[in-house]
Amino acid sequence: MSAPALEAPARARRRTPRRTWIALGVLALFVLAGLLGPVLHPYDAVATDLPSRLLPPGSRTEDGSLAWLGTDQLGRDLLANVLAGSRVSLVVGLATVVLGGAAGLLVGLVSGYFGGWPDAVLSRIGDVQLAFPSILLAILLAGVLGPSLTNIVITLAVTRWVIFARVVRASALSARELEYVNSARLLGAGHLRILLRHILPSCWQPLLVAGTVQVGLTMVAEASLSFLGLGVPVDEASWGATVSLGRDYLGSAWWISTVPALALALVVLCVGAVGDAFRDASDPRAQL
Amino acid sequence: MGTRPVSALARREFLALAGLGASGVLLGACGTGSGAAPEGALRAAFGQPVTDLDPYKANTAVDEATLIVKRLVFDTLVRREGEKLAPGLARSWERTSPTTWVFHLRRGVQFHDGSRLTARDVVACLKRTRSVESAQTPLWEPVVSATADDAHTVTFTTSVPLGALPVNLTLLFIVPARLVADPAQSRSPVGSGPFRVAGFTPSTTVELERNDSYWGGRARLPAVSLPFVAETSSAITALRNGDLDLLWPIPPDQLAEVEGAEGVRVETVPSWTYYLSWFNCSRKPFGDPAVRRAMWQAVDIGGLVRELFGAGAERMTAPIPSTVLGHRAQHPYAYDPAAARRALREAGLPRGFRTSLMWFDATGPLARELAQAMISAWSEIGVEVEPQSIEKAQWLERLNTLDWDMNLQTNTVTTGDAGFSVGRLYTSKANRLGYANPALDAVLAKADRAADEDERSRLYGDACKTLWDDAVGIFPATLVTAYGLRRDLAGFTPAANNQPELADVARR
Repeated sequence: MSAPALEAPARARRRTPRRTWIALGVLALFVLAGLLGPVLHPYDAVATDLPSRLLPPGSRTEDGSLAWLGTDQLGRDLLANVLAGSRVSLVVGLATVVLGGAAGLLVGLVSGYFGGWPDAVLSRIGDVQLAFPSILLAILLAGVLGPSLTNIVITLAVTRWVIFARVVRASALSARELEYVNSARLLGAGHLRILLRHILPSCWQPLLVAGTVQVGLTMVAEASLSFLGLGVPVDEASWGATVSLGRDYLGSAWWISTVPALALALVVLCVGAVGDAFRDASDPRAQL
Repeated sequence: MGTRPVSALARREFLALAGLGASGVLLGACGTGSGAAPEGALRAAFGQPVTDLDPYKANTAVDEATLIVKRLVFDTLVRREGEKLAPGLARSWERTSPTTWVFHLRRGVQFHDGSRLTARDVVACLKRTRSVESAQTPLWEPVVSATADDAHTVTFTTSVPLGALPVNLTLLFIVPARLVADPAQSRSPVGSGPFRVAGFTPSTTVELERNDSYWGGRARLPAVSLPFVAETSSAITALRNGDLDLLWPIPPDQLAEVEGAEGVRVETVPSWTYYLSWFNCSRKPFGDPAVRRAMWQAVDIGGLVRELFGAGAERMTAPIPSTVLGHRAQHPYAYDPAAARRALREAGLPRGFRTSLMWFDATGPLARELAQAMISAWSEIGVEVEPQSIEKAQWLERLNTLDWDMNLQTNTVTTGDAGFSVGRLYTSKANRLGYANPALDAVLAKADRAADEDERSRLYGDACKTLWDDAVGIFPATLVTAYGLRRDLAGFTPAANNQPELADVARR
């Protein structure tokens, strides 16, 4: 962060702050937990162990195994639950950004490059949607579609595409007027060729930056929906759902809500930190 | 650091989303603020929301939360006081022939709007309740007519001898004849009870004020405020810091938080509320009693009730709680997964089957945990059950249209009499769970007719045995209701049917 003033400006620009490395480390752990955790320490939503219910972190369960993070109100291991929840968060976060990003890219390219009435129609649709609180829209959609992992991804992608579309449109709009694009047009290149070869490359970077930030927000949105009972079905683990089900136990078994809530906060914070660093690195104006 | 438009937006949005989760908790707490409640009002919260106050609304005819308010706002001809029936709006009654009952009404009773109670009102109310198809309908089917002999005498004629009539009349709320079908009764109903409705927001709060000209003597507190607090933890906090005077039922897992609290005491009573897990007998494979019994054997009910509820519930020995008239203890189904698997094999289901279980979380304490524990036990014998935790409205809709495989819920024997649950729910005609048994119908009809308590009790005991042996459902636990109340309340008696007499409650 505090680079000595005497150091060469070029070096200061390249230096990655320590917090970014920490955040990247945490995220790597999180991805690893999401990928391997459920394999190594499987979570079975159906299996219950009533004699071991509500054990505090570090207790021994009925069958002698150690419950590192305690057990929930049905005697299921909370660590396994949180690991399984991390996979849901990861899947929803990435799938939503890919789906919403793809839709946003398409819409943004069309409206930014062609302008005119397609731009007017698409942008106004986007404005209308942005005027409506995204979480309300998500609640409405999730309520109609019903609880399932696929439906959450669809729901959240619908609420997110506008953000990507706007970023891409802005880039496409400025790239359209660049001289090399004009030259390509004069040489008789088709719209498709110009879009793919000349406009698209300048859209990637802002899109990726927006995507990184959105991954974290999507995870929070998924947890919010699951908290409200509109997210994953009963037999799947989700951090939001676990927080929600544990809130009656805040006075007696605090760990049920606290552990997944901390995990969510940590991961979203780290995604934000990495997103910031990525944007700083990719945008030369940030150094001015 | 420079300006960071992207992350500023991101943070704001993050906070908005995080705030949403928190506001869900806070909104629940807002209900207890009850700024509108007058000074000295009793603030009492029940675990389920009140949605409608019209006594003849089909959906809420036997809804527990609604009944609590109805008992305070309306009167009935007959009331239940402890084990006995006591006069309400009817001063006295007699059975003049096996199929006729004559009720003599109290004189000088005034409704909240100032009009006087006459026999015509009672007749109109009976007609109305008979014309609305609801969960109460089976109780009123045998009542052919009611006639007003004079201003204060009503004669009920029944198609068959109906011994249960006085008990059933504890559910017939009397309103002025001209208002029986008035839609305004849903929001601001007129009755003759100890309290009148001062304000009502469905699923949020009911504000009642004292009816000073009540015939039975005026209530001891000037007003009652009944907020709905969706969050158990918020409700408990409100009770502990004095925002609530009374809270029930307190879930078993949260009892320890309340018991130790300063200024709060807990009173418990074995309730008439119990869990039932019905099988839809009109759907495969639950048409086969052997399969239903196997499902029961697969669950360690004893262990489950002990571990999950502790002192908060008792294992059931019949399809109704042991304190209800007509209960007869049956042999418990032993926990035997091997026998259950064998029975499934013999029933032609060697590899188990797939089905679903529906419930709504607010139906009772630990409902979700109970459902999941049973699903867990069933998976051991190869039966894969999809958990369907749904909204109450959707649940009611599906329950009433028989659109379910298995259904978990609590049920309260509101009248303390087996006729209300066994007699009402399990006849072939009621068809609540696709179960039809002509032999049982005959026993229930006979019990309905019998005027003698012992005779009725014996016949309902027979019905208990049939339902238990046929395993129409699993009957795991009767709840022990825990009421949490501030120490300065006096005159409170815990009620087994979740409907405590709040007019008798005072502050010390």
